[in-house]
Amino acid sequence: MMSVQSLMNALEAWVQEELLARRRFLELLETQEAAVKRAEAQGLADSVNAIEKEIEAQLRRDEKRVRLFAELGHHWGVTGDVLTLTSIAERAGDAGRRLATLRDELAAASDRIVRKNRRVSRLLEAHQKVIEELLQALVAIQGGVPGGSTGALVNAEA
Amino acid sequence: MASVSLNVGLKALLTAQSALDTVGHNVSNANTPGYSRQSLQISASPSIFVRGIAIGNGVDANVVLRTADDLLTRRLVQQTASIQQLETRVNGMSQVEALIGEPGDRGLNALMQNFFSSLSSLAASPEDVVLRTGLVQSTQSLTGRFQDLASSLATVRSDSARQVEAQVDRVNTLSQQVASLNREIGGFEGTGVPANDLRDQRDEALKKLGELLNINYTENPGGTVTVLASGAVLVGSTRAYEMSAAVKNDGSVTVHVEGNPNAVGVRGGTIGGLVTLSQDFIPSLRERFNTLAKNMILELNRSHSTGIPASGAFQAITGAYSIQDQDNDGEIEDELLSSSGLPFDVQDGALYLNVVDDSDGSFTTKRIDIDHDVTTVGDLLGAINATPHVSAALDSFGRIQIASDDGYRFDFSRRVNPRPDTSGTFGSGAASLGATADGPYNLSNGDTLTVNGPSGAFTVTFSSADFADISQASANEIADAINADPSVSGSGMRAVGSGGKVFLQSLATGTTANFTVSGGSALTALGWSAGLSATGQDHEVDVRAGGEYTGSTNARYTLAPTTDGTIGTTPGLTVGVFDDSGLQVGTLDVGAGYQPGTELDLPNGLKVSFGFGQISATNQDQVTIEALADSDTADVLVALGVNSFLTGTDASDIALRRDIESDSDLLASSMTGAEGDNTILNEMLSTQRAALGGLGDKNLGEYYGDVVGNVGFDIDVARNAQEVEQFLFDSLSERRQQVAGVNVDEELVNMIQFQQAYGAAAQFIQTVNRVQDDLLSIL
Repeated sequence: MMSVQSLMNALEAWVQEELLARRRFLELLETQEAAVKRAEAQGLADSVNAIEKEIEAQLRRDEKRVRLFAELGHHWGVTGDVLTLTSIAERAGDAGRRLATLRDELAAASDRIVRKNRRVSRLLEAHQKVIEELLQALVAIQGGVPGGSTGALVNAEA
Repeated sequence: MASVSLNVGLKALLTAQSALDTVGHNVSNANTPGYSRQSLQISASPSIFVRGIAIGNGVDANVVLRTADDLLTRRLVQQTASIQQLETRVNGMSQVEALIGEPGDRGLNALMQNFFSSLSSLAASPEDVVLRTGLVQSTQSLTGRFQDLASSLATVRSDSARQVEAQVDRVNTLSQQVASLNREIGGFEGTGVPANDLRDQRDEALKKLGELLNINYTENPGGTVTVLASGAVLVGSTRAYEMSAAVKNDGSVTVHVEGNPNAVGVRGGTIGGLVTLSQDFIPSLRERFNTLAKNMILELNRSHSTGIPASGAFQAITGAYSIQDQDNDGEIEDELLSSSGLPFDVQDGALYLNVVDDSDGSFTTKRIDIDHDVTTVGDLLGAINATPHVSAALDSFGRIQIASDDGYRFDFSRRVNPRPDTSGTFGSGAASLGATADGPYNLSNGDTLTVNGPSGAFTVTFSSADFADISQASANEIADAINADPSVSGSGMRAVGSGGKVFLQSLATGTTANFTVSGGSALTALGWSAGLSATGQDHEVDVRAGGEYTGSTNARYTLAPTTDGTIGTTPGLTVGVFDDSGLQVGTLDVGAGYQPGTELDLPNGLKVSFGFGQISATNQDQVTIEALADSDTADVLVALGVNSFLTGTDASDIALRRDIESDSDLLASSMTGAEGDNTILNEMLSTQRAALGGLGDKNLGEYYGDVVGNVGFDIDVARNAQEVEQFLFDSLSERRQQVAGVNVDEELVNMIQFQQAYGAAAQFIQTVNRVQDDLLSIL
């Protein structure tokens, strides 16, 4: 089993990885926002795919975090799921100072993502609504369509 | 970390709407080799009208573009309402933030610190007149600031409401314009002539309306528009409906539209912002200031009301708060004390009233039990009036007035009674005989007690009419029943209830005073037997109590000799110390070797000393010392505003008690009245750091910090929202430009693709949020 110091080092490395991932995440959200503003469907789809990959990577990284928490918890006689970065930094005393700083940076980075995500969400919602209204108006869906409620497809090149 | 489903394929996210499915079919096959793209055939029925053109049998490019243009315009108008609402709110909230003035010398935080600092200084030198004046001044500054804030918030609220009135006038002007333009456009276009200029004018008027409130408008056949404001028709095809604002005295405002019985909930535009400020933000903030002020009044008064001023205990005092006739029967005293319109709650508990004899400083303590569900105002007054040398009544305002007889004073202090043996039941000079056990006693109606007293015999017959429950007779009820018989005093006797036990005593003292219990059916219940006698003594034992009780709850210690003997003389003579439950918690050695008058330790900081004299276990001698942690557990004094430090009930009227302003000697800084006693000041000081239930277990500073922090947070949130809404507005404006001049078929396909991509992205918005939440949970 690793020593507490080794585990602390590994945990700091994990937080730094997370910080880098937060930066990438933020950039992807900015790309997504720009795609919405420029009405680039492909750009939007690309950013969604990239975010999906980023989330998958984060889940993998989290497995490592769970293992580190469990080992630290074992040293301190608690289960890993009751630990947080704050409580670990406090328990580690002086050795946890750097972790506490990194934790604050991670909290700030997450906060930026939450804010950006909220903004993109609002933007998406508004654009989606406009297009939905426009399409509804164009197909005159609200009053029903002869031959069914779905409109009728015709061959435009016929 | 929660499991996150990542299988979010774009195709699976196509909107369920059937129309979009139809069009989406094109998209799904757009890249299929050999696939012939299909286009929409638009239904002719029902038609929608855009700029006078009916969209129906097929759609041409112009129609699509105009439709897009109109929809985007409409959304931009709605967006304008959001932006204006937020701007108005941010402006109003910023104004309030400036009023609060934190951090700053005039901010409540600094003034609260000044107040507690003054209190701390005075606690160090409680007799210092200059420091007393300093506390008065810092209290006035603090309470004055509370009042200023309350008044300023009321003004901002009222101003917001007045501004709503002004903006409503503008709405009516614009509504009239739209209605007028509706009529003109209808007239023109009815003859087949497009009224483009008039439509532009109407669009402009609609945009301005959208700045004032959130509106929705739809175009009708004939080119007119119907404008709705939160569901109410503001403009019909040909006429406008008058909007009005009703401002109430409390500063609240409601908006009405002609023909609608209910108020219109305007939430957008400048009016929406003003209404939100007036109805939500300011009342909520005011409530938080009121909560802070109310809890400050409550907690400081809890301490102060039981204190004793530098000028000594009271001869007369009047409460600050009026009791109300809640049931409107013309009677006030029949009101339950807990529901009598007092601003602070009365709890189950007890109030201890000390009556001090000016001649020697001795005092007796009266315990008045308060039952939240039973005790009436009259019960309280009756209990005080039943206390010798003190009287209570209500003045013409319904405030309680308590006064003492000449030669006596009163207070509500929890100080230890220095002469606890007020009944003379411990080493008394009189002949004294206690029951063998504490009450209640199981008497029966008609039970008798016969005693041969120093001046003759008496027989008392007990009647159930004199007891709440004669089978559970209390010591005081029995003593009252015995004393009510005139033959008792005639035989030189009396009865007393002390520490829950009934005693018979001779009126005279000295060795010649004696009596014998000679018979009666009540003997068994009282533990006596016929022939039991008691004799007085020449040296009454002087029992003195002192120290400061450090226990956290009210307690009662009973001291009783374990054998018969003489204080300081009889070898092995001890006094047992018993707690409320009858458990012996200590033993005091008062036999040979004890120097009479020497202080001995009792539990929790109390002390006791005994003078020379005989004490008797056989005669059931005992003395009870009340140990009070709180002499008003019922909060009666706070509720009535008796001996309060602060008056008022909230931020608008919180103030230093007026007579303290002019005479700082009335500050009840002491628990005992002794010079240098700063107990009450220290208690008041501890309020600063105490977690208060009324403040959600926060202390005053923390709660206020939250109030100020929340204002800042609310402003930040509103500013962020404003930024997002403006960004959205710009984005939609940009989009509107993009719509112009595109290929209609391409644009339709693009729209569907966007719908799909948006759907997928929207799913991920939630996923991203969940991932962030998970991360935050381990920080």
